[in-house]
Amino acid sequence: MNALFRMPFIASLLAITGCFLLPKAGIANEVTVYSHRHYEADDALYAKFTKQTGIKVNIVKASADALLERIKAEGKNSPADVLITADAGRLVRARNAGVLQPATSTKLAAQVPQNMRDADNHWHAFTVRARVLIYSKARVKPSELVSYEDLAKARWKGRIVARSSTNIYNQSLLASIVAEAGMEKATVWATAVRANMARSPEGSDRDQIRAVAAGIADVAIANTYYVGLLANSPNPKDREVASKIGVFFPNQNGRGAHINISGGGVVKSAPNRNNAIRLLEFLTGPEAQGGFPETTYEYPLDISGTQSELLKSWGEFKADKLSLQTLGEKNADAVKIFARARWK
Amino acid sequence: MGTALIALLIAVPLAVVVATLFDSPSEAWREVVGYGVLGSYVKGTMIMLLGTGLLAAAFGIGAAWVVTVWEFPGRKFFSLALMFPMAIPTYVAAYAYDFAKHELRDPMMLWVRENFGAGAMMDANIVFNHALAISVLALVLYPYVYIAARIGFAEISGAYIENSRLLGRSLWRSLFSVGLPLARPAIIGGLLLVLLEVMNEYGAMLHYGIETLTIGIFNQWYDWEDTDSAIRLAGVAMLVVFAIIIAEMLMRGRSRFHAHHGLRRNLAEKPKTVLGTSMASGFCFILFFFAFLLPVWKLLELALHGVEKVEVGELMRPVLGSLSMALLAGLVILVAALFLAYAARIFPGVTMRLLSKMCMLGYALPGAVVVIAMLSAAAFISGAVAADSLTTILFTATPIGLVMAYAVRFMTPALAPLEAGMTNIRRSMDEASRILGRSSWGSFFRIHLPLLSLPLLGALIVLFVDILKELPLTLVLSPPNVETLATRTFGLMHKEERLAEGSLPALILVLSGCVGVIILHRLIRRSRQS
Repeated sequence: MNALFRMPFIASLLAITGCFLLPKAGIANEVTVYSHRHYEADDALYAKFTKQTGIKVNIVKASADALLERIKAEGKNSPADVLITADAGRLVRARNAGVLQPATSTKLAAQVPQNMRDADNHWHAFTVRARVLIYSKARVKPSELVSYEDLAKARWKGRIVARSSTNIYNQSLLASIVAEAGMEKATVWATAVRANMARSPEGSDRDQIRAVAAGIADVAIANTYYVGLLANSPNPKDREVASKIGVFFPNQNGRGAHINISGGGVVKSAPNRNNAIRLLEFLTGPEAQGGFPETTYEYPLDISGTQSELLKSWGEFKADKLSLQTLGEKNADAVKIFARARWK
Repeated sequence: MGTALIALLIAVPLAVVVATLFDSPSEAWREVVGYGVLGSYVKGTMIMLLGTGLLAAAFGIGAAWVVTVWEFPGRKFFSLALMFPMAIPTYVAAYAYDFAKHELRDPMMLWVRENFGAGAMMDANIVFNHALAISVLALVLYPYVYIAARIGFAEISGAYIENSRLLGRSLWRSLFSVGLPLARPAIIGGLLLVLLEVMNEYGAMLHYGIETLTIGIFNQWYDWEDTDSAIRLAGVAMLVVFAIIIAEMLMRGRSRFHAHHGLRRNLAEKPKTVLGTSMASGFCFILFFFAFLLPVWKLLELALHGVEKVEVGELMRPVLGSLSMALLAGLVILVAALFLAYAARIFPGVTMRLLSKMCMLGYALPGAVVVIAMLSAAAFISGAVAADSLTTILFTATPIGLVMAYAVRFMTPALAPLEAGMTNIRRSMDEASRILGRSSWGSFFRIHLPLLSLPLLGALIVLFVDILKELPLTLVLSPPNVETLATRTFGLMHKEERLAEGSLPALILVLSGCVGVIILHRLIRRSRQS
């Protein structure tokens, strides 16, 4: 290329890409969401929100940890308005890190039960999920299953699979066990369950369920909505997997099954605070709440109020009343225990 | 002066890492070391380095030898095609080979359990995962060794191999006693790149559940929320990388093997038997099949069966994101590299050469280390200068930080060909230009730049493909609403397990990589002819 033409060419390329990438400052009516949720259905939901309110939704999708680090690094000038995570622990972490602000409205207060939000309104939940035992219908009778604690017993040797301890859902489950039984007993539990595993933790919750269907293990620990995703997957192999397994809610005679939430909070330095609150109102409002069980197979805030066939087929269950705040508070302990138990 | 500034860019993050090492360790670090977690990270890293290195070397050297020395049907096709696996990002290959887990591994595991018990199944599972990871990585990374070995065999040891054959030695003996030793420096250079890629690997290791230092760095940073132990792990990773680099330098030794310019030797001869011919073709085909055809076929299968309708608009976003980031960063890095190469020429001397080498250091560091180092450095600077978040807003809310991180990481692929190109320009040209009254920079634009057009284009291609494929840096530092093909593929395949939708951006990545390889191949051929 002729050197004479090179400079202007380069300059214009830079200009074009620069325009593409520089932050669009001051465009009216938008809300920037940093979200760990990654469902196609969410995009449709945001589109509905934009249609109804005229507020444009900008999304940054990444893991909750990365998002939190980013907001902390961005500080006062962060463009984030709302932080959405798929776990209460991470919301508590965000609150403790000082990146969220109290934000509420009459609608939010009415739509979100008290135990599903932060005491000072730093965050609000909008869906619920239970971490349950998935068992092989061929090899396990539901009557054999009792509780999370029971999985430590010798008769489950070589029959359990679970995902890595780096996953927040496992950490929150362990946090609830720490809250119930203390760190020492929780460490014994984690070590015993790890020893009972059929294989070293690998893959996602869905991979654990697949392992149960394939006969590698008999029981898996997984979130309820994954069963829904498998049962309604376009892939016939997934649907086959879903047909071979059953859902069991543990600890029904005790504290109840461990639940967690997906929720959001308004970021402290949010440039569009009001829009952020409106988005949260929308997500906790009747249209979105009615949609979640059908699209993402999550429970709405009113767990027993759902009309979804699939969710109803799993049965009613008693949920652990532990404050979601505690899941966050005990998270560091859980991480430590997993490392000591060599859970991986 | 300018060179010092650029070198500073890379030195500061490294300095932060080293400085943290002198502070007293955090509690999390004691947990990591005390409970043997550090040990398993190091062990996992070593296994992957050793296994992938050996396998990639075997594939690369084997393929290069067969293609250089034998004439067989398909030779011309394979000599180019065997480079294509380089176009497949490692994490994409990991997902393409996912089927091996369900269709191969699980039945094997059940069989093991029936015959040897549950304990054996647990071990067999670990062994299988490692073996699969090593195989997949080696299949996708061997082209680095292949290219290096081909250069070595054709350019350096060519004449000697010919002589060896003339003296009556068989091909095998010629390979081991003459070809390999003389091509050794080149081959080791290629192997170095493979090992650095393994150190950098994040997506594939995550998928196969292999614990390496890079995975550990992210774990400590995110899970434990402990920057201190993350940085210490980064320090350990840096030590391993330095050890590899030093080993490479030692093994290369003082050998300076000169390329034989002039007649390019075509050593190829037909094997004596039909068996020989079919073995040669067979070997190439099998390698090409498993390294390229099979993974691409699996991706196509995923795309064709799984995707209901192609949302072109949605797909264009990561395409545009990738294109703009690669162009922007590529041009910035090239300009910086040109500057560095020319500055080194005008001011020859040890300091300049040292600074140049420093700028290349970033390539050796895993992306995770670069990310942590840069973010820590930025936090440190904004703290020290009390600029509050000004540095960080520039850094994370605009692409500036990501471009800087790319610059730290990818300076080497840009600088190396340019430096090589510079040395090919005779100094007498510089002097002639000065005598004619032009300034140094005038000479640069009139003389050096046009003469560097081939290396420049080559560097641009390599940079482009590298940036397109890059994952860990981009995951952490990309601005809002900017997605690249790499992050979209990873997000869809890893997070959402939507393998079918993820196969589309993955296929686009592979395609652009292939185009890059073809253009590069043509460029190298053209440069040899001139």
